[in-house]
Amino acid sequence: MSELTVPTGQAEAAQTSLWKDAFRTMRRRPDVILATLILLFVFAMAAFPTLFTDKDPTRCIGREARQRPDTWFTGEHPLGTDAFGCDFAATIVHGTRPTIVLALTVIVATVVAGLLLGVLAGYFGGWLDALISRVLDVFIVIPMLLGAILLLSLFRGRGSSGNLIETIGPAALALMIFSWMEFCRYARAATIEAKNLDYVQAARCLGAKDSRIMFRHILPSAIIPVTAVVPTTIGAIIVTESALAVLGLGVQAPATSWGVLLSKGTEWAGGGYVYLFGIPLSLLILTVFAFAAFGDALRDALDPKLR
Amino acid sequence: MRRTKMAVAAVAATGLAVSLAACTGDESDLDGGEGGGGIVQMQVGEVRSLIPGGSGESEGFRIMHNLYDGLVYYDAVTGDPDYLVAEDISSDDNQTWTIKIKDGLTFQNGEPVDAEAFIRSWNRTAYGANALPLNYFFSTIAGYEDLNPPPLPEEEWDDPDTPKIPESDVKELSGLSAPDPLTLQVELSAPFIGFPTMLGYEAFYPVAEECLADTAACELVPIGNGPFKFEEPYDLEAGGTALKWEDYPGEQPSIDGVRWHVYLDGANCWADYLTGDIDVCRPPASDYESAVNDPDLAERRIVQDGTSTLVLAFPLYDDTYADVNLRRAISAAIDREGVLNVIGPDRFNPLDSWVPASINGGGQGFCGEYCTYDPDLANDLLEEAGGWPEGEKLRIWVNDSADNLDVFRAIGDSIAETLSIEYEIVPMEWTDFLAEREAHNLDGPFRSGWGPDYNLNENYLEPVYGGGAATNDQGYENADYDAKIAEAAGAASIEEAVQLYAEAEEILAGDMPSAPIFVEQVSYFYSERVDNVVVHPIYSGPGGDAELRDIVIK
Amino acid sequence: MGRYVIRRLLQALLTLGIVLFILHYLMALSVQIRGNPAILFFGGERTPDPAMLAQVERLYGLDNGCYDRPGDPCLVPFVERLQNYAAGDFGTTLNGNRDVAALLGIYIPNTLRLFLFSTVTLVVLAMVLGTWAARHRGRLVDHSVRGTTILIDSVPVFLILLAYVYMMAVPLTRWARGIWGTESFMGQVFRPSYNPDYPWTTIVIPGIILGTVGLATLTRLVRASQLENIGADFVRTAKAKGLGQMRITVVHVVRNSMIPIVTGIGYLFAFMLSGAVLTEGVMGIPGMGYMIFNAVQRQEINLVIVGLTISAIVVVVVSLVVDLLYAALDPRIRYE
Repeated sequence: MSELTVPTGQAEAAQTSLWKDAFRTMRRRPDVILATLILLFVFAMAAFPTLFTDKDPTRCIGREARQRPDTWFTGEHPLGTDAFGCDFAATIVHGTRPTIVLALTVIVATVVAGLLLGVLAGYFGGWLDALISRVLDVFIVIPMLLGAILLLSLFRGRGSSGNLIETIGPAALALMIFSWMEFCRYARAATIEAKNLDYVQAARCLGAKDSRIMFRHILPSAIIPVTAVVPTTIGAIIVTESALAVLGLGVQAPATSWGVLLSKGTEWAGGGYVYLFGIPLSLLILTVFAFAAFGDALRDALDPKLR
Repeated sequence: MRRTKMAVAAVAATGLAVSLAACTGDESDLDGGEGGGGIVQMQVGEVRSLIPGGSGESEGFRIMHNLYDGLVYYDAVTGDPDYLVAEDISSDDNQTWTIKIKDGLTFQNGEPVDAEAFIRSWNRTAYGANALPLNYFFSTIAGYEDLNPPPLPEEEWDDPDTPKIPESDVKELSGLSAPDPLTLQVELSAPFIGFPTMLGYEAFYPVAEECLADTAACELVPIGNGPFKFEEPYDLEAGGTALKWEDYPGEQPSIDGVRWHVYLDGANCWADYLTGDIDVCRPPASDYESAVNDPDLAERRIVQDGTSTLVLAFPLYDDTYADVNLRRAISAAIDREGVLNVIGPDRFNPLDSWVPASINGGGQGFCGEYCTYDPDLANDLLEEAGGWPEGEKLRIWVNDSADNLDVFRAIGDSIAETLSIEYEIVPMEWTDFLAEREAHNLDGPFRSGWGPDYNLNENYLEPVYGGGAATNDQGYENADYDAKIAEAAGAASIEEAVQLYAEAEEILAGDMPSAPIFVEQVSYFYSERVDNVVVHPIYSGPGGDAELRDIVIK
Repeated sequence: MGRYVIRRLLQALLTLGIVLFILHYLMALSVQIRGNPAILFFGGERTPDPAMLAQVERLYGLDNGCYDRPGDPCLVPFVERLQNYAAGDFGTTLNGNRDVAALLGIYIPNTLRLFLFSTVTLVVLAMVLGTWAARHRGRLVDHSVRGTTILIDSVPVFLILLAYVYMMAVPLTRWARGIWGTESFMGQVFRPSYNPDYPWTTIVIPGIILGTVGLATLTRLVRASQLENIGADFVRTAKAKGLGQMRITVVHVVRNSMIPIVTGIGYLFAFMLSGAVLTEGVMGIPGMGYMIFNAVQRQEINLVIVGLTISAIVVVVVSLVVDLLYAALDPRIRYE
């Protein structure tokens, strides 16, 4: 306690080593390696679809609809054709980008909003905390899917098959509005805890500005619990997107996303075209599983109590 | 002595039946179980009302036409209106109609079915303030305006955005009268030869006095005059059972009753049909193929022409679509067979006329080569019309029920592939779509469709393409067409009218304000335990239905 | 404790009030932007006569001028609505003119039955798997339980249901009926859709499937809390006092392990409501989730507001009860 600046350095060093340790633990776990490989594959499909298929997913011949993939991974249609006679492999590959972009957009926006509101509420307390907490209560009371259904149906304009933003915009916005609360809660709790720690008090005594304390000292510790739930939440967003698509409210056909593929696939699976359901379903499950496993490991690694 | 013997024989016979059933294995076991004796298990959707005039949708109507007897009943084969409650319907000038009602008919509660019962029902529906869905059916009857006054002039509204409507004291149609209890006299506001063909519809069924005294109770346990009768209240979620009305004076149905099982939006009966819990069902698109290929099921399949049409209409008010050759090009570029392959075969048939063949005067094939897939012809026609505007997308406007999106996506794919133009689907919510379509705000081809109210080709022509460019959705107007329609309405006989309406359809074909795509095809499957399954072209509802007056349980 | 309860109750009331207003405002906006739901009343292909339309609007309280001005919060109808609700009048539906209160009487029990089965499934599975994993901490069992539950949780529940309905229900039903007959429990339980004649039996399978929502989360909670408690000081103290093993397990370990589990269930409740929308839709169960979804689609303003408010009340009450149980179960927590 002799030098007042030192605790800050210690705390930051502790933060850094926590992340380093977490990275080191995770690197050794086989499930994390597997999850990472799956995610790399999926991200590659989203970023460079043409590496995986040379077919145009919008060229669909009605008379060629639902050709089963008898020639697995080779031939004219490597995975057969879909319900509209488009190349199924091309549809899947090109449907990956909207799904992934939507999930990432939502997560980035909600983490930023959640952290910001949470830290503000936790740090300042008082009426700001009361206000943010009330808003939090109100949104928590409406489950994410119900809220998204409500917004998307009420303000369903003319769907458009134009560019990516128009395609995923409405669904992304609706999901954002109803999924920032968890991050906010975690950030607020962590902030309240950190606010009273010695090094923060010390920084304040030294006359640091509120904004500096929040961003330099509190935010790093508030990010930890939030980070631990991020991968799992991404998985949940992908699932919710597919649910919305099945309900006809998410991404609108003829634009594709995994959800759109699944909603068509479920219809035809019962009629004997199991591949139309099975292939996108496996892809979805693998991805969500990878995110969940990754998140699970991350939570263990970042939770000091369990170490 | 004799009596005892009879009883023994009966017992023996029953025993035999039971053991037979047991021997034939699990299949008939399944079928016998739930229904018991002679109850047919039918599927039904969400019912809006069970009092005539209040439903206006297929599900209420499909139940109601078994509970109520109307003046006429459409023949299941020809579609002609046969007298049921009416003894005779006649008119000298097609404007004043005299309807004689059979003597001695009663409602299920004992009230007489007389002219008053019809007048009571029709007045209730026609009275604007009751806000009943089938109100518009009475606009042809004299005095309708008095019950449905137009909104006051704008200056007199309390709120500048809300039309104010004067209260009307008149609650009875002046065109209806009963010279004697069994004679109903109807005066129309203009001559209409097709009036008797309308009378088999729900809007024209009679209503008992007791029913109107307590409509809430009557919705649950309707008081009809038909062959079936509810004993227990009908439940909108759980359905209900109607039993044979023992005192029905007409031909008694062969079954003891019917149990309606409700399937709400999105749900369908197919899985329950396969487990033996439903007797007549239409498979969803994805199950058609496996159902048709199953030799056991294929024997119990009914295939016949339906009456609902699906049409791609053109916005004639938009300059892009002003050239008839462009419209023809688009129509010829649609691979109707290919689209069918996408949305499930056997649900529709390609259509090449505006009035389908199952309707009186329909099936003339006036669209001809332009309704047949021909890529070369389509491209030639497009060239003749000056080509497709560079860089523009073909925008197809549809209302957003899932089925439409699939159908029109497949249509769009076909047009895009054939004519090498890009397209997009613009789905709209139903109410928006209706309003925008009517306001001529759509800048591309749009979905249109029609289901018949009665069996006359006029029903597919006048309401859809008549009224002038400002009125109909396509913005279509042709003086010859309108003249022909008017000529037909004043025809002396129904045959002559049908012929003149067909000529009007031919004029329409020359202008091609819309491209006929499909007519629905009835393709229902029925269970092993029922027989004589008749699917009525006008009365049957979607999803699986049969004439309960005719169906037999084996 | 009493003051805490009152404060929480007041907060809950405020939250509900805001939710009600937001819902009302959203629906008003939707009418203003999307246009008049009264047109739905007429169904069909035809556009109704303006006079008829105005009549229907008046019948359903949509004739207030504020519905024509986008952005107007429509306070007058809001107050009217609240007054009606307070008087026990929940209004009628636009489509079919049905009494909303009567509808709720049909829908709520179905959803409760569904939740009953899914909660039991969830708790039993999570307790068994979590305890098992905790006992074999760090070993293969632990890892496989974790992997399996995460995998199960990764499969969206409505897709499990759809797969069940489309592919398994029919053969299972036929098989069961061949052995036990149509009328038996087994002959009904596998049916592909809900049947009001068998309101309990035909809801079992969807209930069980819905019960897998959040399985990984809850199993993890059970495992962690048991691990924590087995080594906790108060357990060691109890042992040192010479208490019997049975008493230690029941009174100390299980009681204290219940805390996170109760919280977890309360938290998962909101997820179950979302799941109910899809489950009820797929299985044709006329329940609350199904009702809300369809009401939203049809702009049944009244139904949407009433339905979502009830769901909000349930969530608020559940979280209140959870917090109170927290206090009751954990000797360390006392609210003053």
